[in-house]
Parts: sequence; C-alpha cells; structure tokens
Amino acid sequence: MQDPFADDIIALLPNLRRFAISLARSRDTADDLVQITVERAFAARASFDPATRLDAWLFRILRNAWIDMVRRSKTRGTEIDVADAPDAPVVDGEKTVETSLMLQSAKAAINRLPPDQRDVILLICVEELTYKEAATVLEVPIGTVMSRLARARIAIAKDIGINPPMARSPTTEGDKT
Amino acid sequence: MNAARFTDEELMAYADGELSEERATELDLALADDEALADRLSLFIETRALASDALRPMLDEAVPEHLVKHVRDLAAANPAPEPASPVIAFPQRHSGVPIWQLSLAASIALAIGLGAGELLRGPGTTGAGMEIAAVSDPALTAALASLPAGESSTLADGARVEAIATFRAADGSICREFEVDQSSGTTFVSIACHDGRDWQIRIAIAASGSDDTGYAPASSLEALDAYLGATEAGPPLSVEDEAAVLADLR
Repeated sequence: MQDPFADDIIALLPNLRRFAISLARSRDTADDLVQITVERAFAARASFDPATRLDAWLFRILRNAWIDMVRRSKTRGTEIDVADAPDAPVVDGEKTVETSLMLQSAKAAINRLPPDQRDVILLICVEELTYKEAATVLEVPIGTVMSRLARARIAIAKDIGINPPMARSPTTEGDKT
Repeated sequence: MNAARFTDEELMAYADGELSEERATELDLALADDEALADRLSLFIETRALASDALRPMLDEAVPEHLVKHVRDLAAANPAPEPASPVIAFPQRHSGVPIWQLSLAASIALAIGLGAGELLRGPGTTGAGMEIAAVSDPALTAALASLPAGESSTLADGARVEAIATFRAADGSICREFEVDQSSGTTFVSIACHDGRDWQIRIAIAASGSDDTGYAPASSLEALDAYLGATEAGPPLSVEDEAAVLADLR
C-alpha cells in the first residue's frame, strides 16, 4: 500500500543526505543522521502540518539530530574534508572545463565557510527555503539568518574572485584569516 | 529624489525575492542609473546560482538502499494517523440536543432577543430600555454586512467584533455568527439573520469575564450548537460564497 508521507520522504532522501553531508562532512555519519531523521519523522508524523514544507520540517529534525550527535560524541572531531571525498561521477560532455572549475571552487568555498554560514547557504541558496523557513529550521531570528547569509555570499564571492565587493554598505565583512 | 541607500542585506533579499514590494520598486528605480549598485546586486544573484549549481551533483549520488528500505519499514510500522476533524465546522456539532439539557456554565447568561445596543454597551446603559433584536448600531451593521469570517474590526466604543461564520437558516435567510468583545471584558457570541431589510439578532450568549484571551469559553458554544441544531442551520459558507451573498445584501 502506498503511503504518500513515506513516498515524499524517499523523494527527499538525496536532499537530506546533502544537508547531512554538509553538517557532518562525512558520508557515513550523514547516512546515520538521515536514518535518525526518518525515524524521528515517523515517530512525530502526527505533528507535521501539511500546510508547511515537508523538507523544512525534515531539515529541522535532521539538524537537531546532528546537534544531539555532536553533544554526545564530539563527532566533529573525526570529520573529514568533504571536498576530498569523491562525488558521484558527472557525465556531461557539454560542460565546459571553465564552468566545472568555477563550480569546483564554489564548492570548495562553501566548504571553507564557518558552519553557521554554510547552513544558511545550504538551506536558502541550495534547498530554496525562505528566510523564514530557514529561521525556523535553525531556531534563530530572521535577522540572524540574513546577516549570516549576506556574509557567507560575500565570502564565497571573495574566495573565488568574482565581482570584487565594494565597501558600500553597513554589512561587516569579517575578513577570514 | 536622492538615490536611496541599500544595504547588502536588502540587495540580497531582492536577489532572493524576499524584499518588500515597496523597497523592491525603489531598488528597481535606483538600479537603472547606478551601475555599481547593479554590480553589487549581481554578486548576490551569482552566489546563489553558483551555490545551487555547485552542490547539485550531490543529489545525483545514489541513496544507500538501506535508507530507502528503512523508510518503507517505518511507514509500515507507523501508518498515517486519522485525518484530524476540522475544529470549527458546524456539521460536526451535535444537533438536536434540547436546550434545557445543556450543562450551561454558571457564568453564561442566555439572552435571546437582546438588542445590539445591549451587545455593544452592556446591560443597564441603554436609554430606550430593552431594544428588541434589530441591529441599529451602524458600525455593527457595517461589520455584519462586510466583515469576512475570521476577521475582526474595532467599533468606535472600543468593542471588537469578530465574524465567525456565515450560513443559511432553514428558511433560506442569510445568518452570521459573530462575537462581540465589549471593552468591559464581556464577550457575546451571537447570531444575526438578515430579514431582507435589517439584521435581526436571533441569539446572544454572554460569556461574562471569560478569560484573558477575550474569547468565549467553549461551554458557551454548547448553547449555540443547540440553537443551530434546533433551527436546522446550513453549513458555513465558503469564503467565496460568503463574499457573494454579502454583496447581494448590500
């Protein structure tokens, strides 16, 4: 028998894994996180409001599971650099070398961001949550989401050398060392 | 007009489609003749696209089969809960209960035929004695004629009117369930029906000094349920139908 809730979660598994990898920086830990997430999701399925986005709800569960995991075992101590881990092979002959180099360096730049900034990039630019949805997932005010996101994007742009930013606005750019 | 200043966060919100409409319009105008601003904006547009493209290949990674199977197993062990019944719908209310069988809370006074003046000002302050049932207060009449269900408005004397629902009585007339929160703290739950000329109050239940939410306690709704059941009231109209029948009355 089909259960749309289960089908929807299965369809989101790649997104959950991507977010988990970004948090845990290890595919094995990420898969454990996703497993915990789906278990908690089914335990709490009655509390899911179908008028809201399922992915945002799952991201929140996943992130809380990650925080639990870090508290319990200091898993971040064993992290590996995800940039060194193999990607799925991309077979696309049309892709120009230039584009793929740009994307490689963008990915590396995202991986170099502080975790707080990487989270908002993942949730908003990659998973396309709204600021409000991301604020709910991260349990921080919208203003915090926006300042982290602006700083993260300026840092990425600087890192890969696009469009050198001008000092024009009150946003502090916090030079990285 | 001076060029408006835009912060990075505003430019970013524009790139993400989250800037307020008003501010976005101002930015549109400013962008037309400010190349530096346009460059700054493109930083936020490009970084979003880059981040999205850079991480897209991760979605193509095969999800470990045991995760998919795990979800299926969980689904089998945790079937979908029964859909929750809607909270407000009339048809869910028990009908046909004689009104004398209701356990009315001591704080509830049933006041059938109370006039609108009583509703708005409270008892004992009307100059004309008991007004019988015609809504004569223009502000309340206006609220009944136009306020959509679920919305509220404040009357001149500080009372708050909230439209709860609109339905057809058994005789086909249009009726509205609404609450009036007097500034004194008393809440009336009331139903008024339109007789073709005026709104007539059919029932008003005072839930005096309810609680600090200002809403009528659930026990006062038992009397209302009994009334709706006894008079064979129709189900609440949809938002569109409500708007249409109210427009017809005006």
